[in-house]
Amino acid sequence: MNLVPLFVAVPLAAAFIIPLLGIWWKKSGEVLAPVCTAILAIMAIVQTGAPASVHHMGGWAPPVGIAMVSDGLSTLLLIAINIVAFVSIIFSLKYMRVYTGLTKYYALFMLMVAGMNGVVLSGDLFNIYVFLEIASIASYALVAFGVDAEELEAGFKYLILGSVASVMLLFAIGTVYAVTGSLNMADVAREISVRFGTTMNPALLLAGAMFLMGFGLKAALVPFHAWLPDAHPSAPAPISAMLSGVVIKSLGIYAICRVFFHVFGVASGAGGSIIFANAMIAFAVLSIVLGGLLAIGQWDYKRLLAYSSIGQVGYIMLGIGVGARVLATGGQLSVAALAILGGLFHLINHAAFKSLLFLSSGAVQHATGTRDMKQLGGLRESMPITSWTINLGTLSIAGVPPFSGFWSKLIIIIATIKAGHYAIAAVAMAFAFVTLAYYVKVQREVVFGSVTKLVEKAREVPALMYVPLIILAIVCVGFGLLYPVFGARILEPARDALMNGTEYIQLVLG
Amino acid sequence: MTRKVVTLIALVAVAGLFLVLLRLGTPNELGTVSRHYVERGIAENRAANLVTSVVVNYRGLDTLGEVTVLFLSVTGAAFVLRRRERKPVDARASRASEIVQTGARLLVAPIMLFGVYIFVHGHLTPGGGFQGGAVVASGVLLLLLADRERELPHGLMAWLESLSGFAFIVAGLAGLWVAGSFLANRGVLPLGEWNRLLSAGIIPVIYTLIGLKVGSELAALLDVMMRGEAVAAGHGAARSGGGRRGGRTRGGKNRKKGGRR
Repeated sequence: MNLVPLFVAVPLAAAFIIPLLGIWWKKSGEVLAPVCTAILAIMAIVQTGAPASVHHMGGWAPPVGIAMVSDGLSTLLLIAINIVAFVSIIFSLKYMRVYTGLTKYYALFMLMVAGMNGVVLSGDLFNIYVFLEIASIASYALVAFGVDAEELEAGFKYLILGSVASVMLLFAIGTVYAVTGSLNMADVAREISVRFGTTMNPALLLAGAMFLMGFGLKAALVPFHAWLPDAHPSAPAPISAMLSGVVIKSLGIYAICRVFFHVFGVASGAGGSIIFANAMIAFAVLSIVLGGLLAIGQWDYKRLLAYSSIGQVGYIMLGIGVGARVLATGGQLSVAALAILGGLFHLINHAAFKSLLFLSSGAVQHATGTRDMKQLGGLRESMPITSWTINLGTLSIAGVPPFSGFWSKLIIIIATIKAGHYAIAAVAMAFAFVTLAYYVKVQREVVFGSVTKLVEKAREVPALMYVPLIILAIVCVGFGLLYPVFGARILEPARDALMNGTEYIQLVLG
Repeated sequence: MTRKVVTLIALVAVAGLFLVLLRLGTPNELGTVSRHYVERGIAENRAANLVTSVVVNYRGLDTLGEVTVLFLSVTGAAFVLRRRERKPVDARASRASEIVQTGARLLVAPIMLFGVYIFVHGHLTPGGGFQGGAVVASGVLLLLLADRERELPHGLMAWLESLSGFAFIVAGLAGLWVAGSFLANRGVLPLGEWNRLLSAGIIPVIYTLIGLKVGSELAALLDVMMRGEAVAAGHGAARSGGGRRGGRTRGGKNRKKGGRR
């Protein structure tokens, strides 16, 4: 029996049952949500190394029914989503106590997890859209969870822009369906390659542009990033960690990868693929530059982290985009493989250190009551554990060797140079130093420096809050030092799955 | 002015795109997938209404997702609207005349019965869980319009909303258990004979659950919007709403604790 549907069924069932039990049992969410996310995280880890598999929903073989496809790429995302979700839920147990309406919080959280798991597992374009909507609507509500003016504004902005993206995606899916008569991604891919080959169909080009804009908005690539700097800081810290850590990646980056590599056949040089690859690189470079520049000037701790997310997503997209371009122009396979590996490595690294940083910002806010860096300083004495995790997180994301961010950025930059994009590589390298600069600022203003009035009275957060930080910090260090242990197990299968479009078609359609 | 010009340019661009798409045209004959539904749908699912067969079974996972989206929107709306102050209700203005009230009371039962009919017969006749649920909710709307202060049975609605969603997933898992695939139809319940009330296996069960869920959710949504505060069904425990305990002084409590130390 294939257990892949449980990744969706378990959190959905939990989300439906938590509010019902909550009527009599106030702690229903606080008990069920950690249990469910723990089960999901274990299932995701067990899933590594398993051969790629297809589950036919309702027993109908694709393209008639909906298929759930679990290959290397979706396994990589499943691991990131479910582990970050588990850690964030544990952090929520204490952190969220200051809010009311907690059963709703846990129900919405589980729906968000169900939506993301559905997106990364689904093999069907419209089904991806449905799950993407579930994850998005849950995150709109969660961003506004504090229901103060600032949170409501951020949530509303996110809702409007997110809905614009959803409309574009629906339009794109409709166009693809009109052209090919199918929604199963493998079937659509086969249809496109058989009917159009390397010629360019204008309707598909339009659909591709819509997909890139829609998913680009979900991934907060510049110029579609306007919602993120408001939404990510306004949300409660565990939600910020989820949004920056995994939501923008599973709804944005993953979806772009899947649709362009496996449906539009960018890797095999199908019509328009060079245009798509160039657009990806352009958005990536814009994100790296603007995200980096805007982060420097921020004094709100979480807002700085949010801008940094834009820049880091740019690096991920750069790796994927360069890989796509090399494949589309028929360049060396090894260069493309290196670029894509770098992008995916940075994806999972960023999931670890950005959720760590957002959770630790929550710990700081919990203890001091502020996230204004001007009022912070000298936390290393009053909050030693949180300070250590902040240090490890900032060193990782800033790309200091031997921490994880250094390796993934190095791989991306080397691949960009090998592909012949010297100017872009130079920009990427320069902005790696900009990242270092603004994270040095974070360390100086938050961890080190003179002790401020607010910090004097602060003390270390309870264990339920610092244990998640320690777990994520260990993961960050592990990603930096232990590539031989996990690389061949989770990263290389993901890279191979992404690069082999024909293999995907064969896997799904048999 | 600039805004108008930009809007105009955008409109012209969209119109141009539309014309390009129109010229490309769409094929008139059925594709392989659609042909499968038309030619083999009845034999495979024994549901007289082919659309239902596609919605509930061939693409059942989408429907599960859509039901969830509705659940989410109700939760989200209840969430955001709970902030609004309750307006002082003028009893005379908010209550319709005796005739309207009596008429509404008389009409509610047949309207709800019709809604139930639509979703119970979803696999036989046009319509189904979503449509039937909407009709049921329109009955509730009539009640609320006639008497704004009417208290809906929130406990019952919460039960319907959560349990029907949960039961949908249990039905799906039953398929996984019995037939080896999530939401499988064959093997879970007998398919029966085409065009009978008890036919099409699990489809009418799921559509009834969807009808109950959609009906109670839309009713809850109407209730929230009419009252402008969170008394949404399914969230009785959180009826006082979310938000922060003790306003914005999140750090305040901890600082006090620190002081005691």
